[in-house]
Amino acid sequence: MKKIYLPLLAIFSLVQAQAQEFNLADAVKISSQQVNGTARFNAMGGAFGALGGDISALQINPAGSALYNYNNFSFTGNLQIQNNKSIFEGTKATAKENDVNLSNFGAIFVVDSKNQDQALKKVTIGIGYHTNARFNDRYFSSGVSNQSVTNYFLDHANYGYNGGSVPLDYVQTREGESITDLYDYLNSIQNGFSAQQAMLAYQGYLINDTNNGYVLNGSGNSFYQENETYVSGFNNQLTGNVGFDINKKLYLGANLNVHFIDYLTSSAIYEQNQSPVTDGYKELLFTNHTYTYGSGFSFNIGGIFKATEEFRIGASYQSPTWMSLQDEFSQSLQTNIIQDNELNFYNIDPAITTLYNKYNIKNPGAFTGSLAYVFGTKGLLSFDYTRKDYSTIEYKADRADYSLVNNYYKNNLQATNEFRIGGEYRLNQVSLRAGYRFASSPYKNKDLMDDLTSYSAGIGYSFGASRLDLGYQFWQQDSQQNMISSGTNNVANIQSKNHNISLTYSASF
Amino acid sequence: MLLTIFNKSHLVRLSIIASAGIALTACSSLNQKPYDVDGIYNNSKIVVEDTHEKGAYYTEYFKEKAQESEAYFTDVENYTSNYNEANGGWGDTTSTTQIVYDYPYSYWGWGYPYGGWYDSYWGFGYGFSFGWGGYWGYPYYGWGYPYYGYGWGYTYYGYRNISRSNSYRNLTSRQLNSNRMATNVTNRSLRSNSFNRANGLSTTNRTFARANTTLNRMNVSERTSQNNRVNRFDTNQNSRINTRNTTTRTTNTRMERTTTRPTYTPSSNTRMNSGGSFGGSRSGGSMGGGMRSGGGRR
Repeated sequence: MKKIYLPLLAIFSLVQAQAQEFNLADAVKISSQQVNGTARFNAMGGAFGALGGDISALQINPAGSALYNYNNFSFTGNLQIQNNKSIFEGTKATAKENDVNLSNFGAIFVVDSKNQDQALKKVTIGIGYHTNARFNDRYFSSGVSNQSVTNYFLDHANYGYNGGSVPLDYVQTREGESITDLYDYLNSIQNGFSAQQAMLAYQGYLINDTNNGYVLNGSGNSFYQENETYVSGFNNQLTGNVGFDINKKLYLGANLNVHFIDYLTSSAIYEQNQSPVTDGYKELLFTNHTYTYGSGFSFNIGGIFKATEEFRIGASYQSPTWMSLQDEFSQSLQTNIIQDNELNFYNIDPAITTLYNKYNIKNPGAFTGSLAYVFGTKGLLSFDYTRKDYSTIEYKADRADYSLVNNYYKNNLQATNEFRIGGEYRLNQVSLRAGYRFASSPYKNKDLMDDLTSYSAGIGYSFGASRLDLGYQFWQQDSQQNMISSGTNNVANIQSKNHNISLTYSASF
Repeated sequence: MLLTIFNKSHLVRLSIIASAGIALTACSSLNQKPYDVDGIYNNSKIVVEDTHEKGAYYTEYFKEKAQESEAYFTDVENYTSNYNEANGGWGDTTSTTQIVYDYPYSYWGWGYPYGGWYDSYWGFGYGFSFGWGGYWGYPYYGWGYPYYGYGWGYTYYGYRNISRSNSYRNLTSRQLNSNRMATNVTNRSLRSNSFNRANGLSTTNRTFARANTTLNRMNVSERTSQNNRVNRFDTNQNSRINTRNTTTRTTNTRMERTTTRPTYTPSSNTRMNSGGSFGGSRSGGSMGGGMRSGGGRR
């Protein structure tokens, strides 16, 4: 099989979730903000920058709280249906994931000024807990390829140790030493990760040592592969907000946010050697888990101006989010190897969770400009534009060198343009809503991840002081996923179609 | 389709949310006329005239006038009238003319039991979330290996052996160079000059002391399953290529499963997210699946 050289950009097609090696797409995932608010917010595509009047609007423009006349609280339940269709080497597969959760709740307190003749008419205080993004998702890709995932192990074994071969001492256990002991020891040496991958494969009789380095134990030219990746987690934030109503014409506000990130990426890669095997490698199952957690901080400032009673203009700024995160990692390998005409099973499971050092990520900030037109009490139309520059994503840690990673973001990611349009029409107690959202891809190479389009609709019923809203959102986006994090250039094309149904109860008090 | 995406626990959760909303609105004793609470359509609070004072004045005024004249006047206080026609006068129905906006505080409760949210992030007490739930309820594509069946989620949280890496999670050299794939072993001869194999290592005179130093936190009892391997494994590097380990192993039942996969037909089974908590994810009793309760994270 001849070597295949790929242009340098292609090696960074690490877009979708993967749990084996460091994933450049993780920071992009943490940076993105889904439209995941109240049902009314969702139904109108999240276009609330110039409207306010909704607890989720505070995430876009903190001045929104100053529009409230009465104290208010709300909470929202959410059903999220993720649907990922994958095409790999001509084979189609589908994966679905459902998630029910309480996506946000919060309250706004309105403090009217005692002296209504002064410019400052009221001050509002808001507090809320809100989901920026829920990561629950599942991908499944399968197909037949002539590149085996064993190349991942061979690559690490032959070139991973300072550019050369992993010493035999690091793949063989010593007298009285267990796999766990050895795996644990390898965490303390340079290039230990590569040595660990080599060790797992060697212990599982996947690769053998020869005078010319490590080679596959067996042969083949056709391999059936499956990659199932499961992600579960969230990016939530706790927001403290303050708003000011000046002359009922100008509204100003600011947020302080504490972020909580917590997600687990699990992947299982299965491969079967389709060539007739009489001796050696037949099947493998490689499972990896990466658990990332941490917290962050950001702030927002914004203003809304009522040019006329009908026409409103909003502007807001969301600061970058500074996060401190930590990764925990565990993996295992199971193999079926034919030896002496007998199929033998090996379970190489170090049963260790590796704790990596803490690191920091700076996620990009965003600017939003908004316009809204309110038709008396009959309805409204609202429009938001947000610009967010993903090329400013930055990793940082005390004694680590992330310059390659940060250069990747600088060179391969770009600023995104997001347009959100929403409308509401009121018939007595009933409100009808619709929305549309478009967000351009953060990647310059659209094959890695394409633009996102979303359609939404909703209905609300007012009981006087309280309201029940139902919202539906559909969004779709195409992307790519590696079958394994390195060693092969097998890539699956993923088409994601997701549905979100939310129900919100809000009331004044 | 809806029946397939809703499993029992989802339905339970959704109905709790929905009925909470409906119950709260039903309990509201406010009048049913809709008004704008969000401030988008209506600039200010709704102002209602208090008719109480004026009412008292007019009561007195009309009382005097009633005594003076013979017209029909209605005594509002007592709801009687000196009206003697057949139709009956006031007093048949009662209604209030006062409009008072009063907000009873009983219909909402702010005391959600969400204690212990953020402990793990603020340094006082970690602990993994529990209630991971049956995300791996059944084999996906008919490939039901037992290790798949007892779930990744469970095996992940089962590891109490913690090992600290001295490095940061970062791009590996293999990721940076993955455009070079040595899939064919004969190609390696071209690379032999860049080999840096530590061939000179002789394993015999190194002691076992090295492995001990990093195992302080290890829970030995969890590793017993690994110990068997040491006895079996042939440490002579040369012999490994030529011979196979001849220790007999009990054949795992999974061997009997199909070893060939003729045609692949993707199934559209839905894997249900059946996490046991309100948050639909891996913890108990939290919001958004995000609580890490109690215990100690290492």
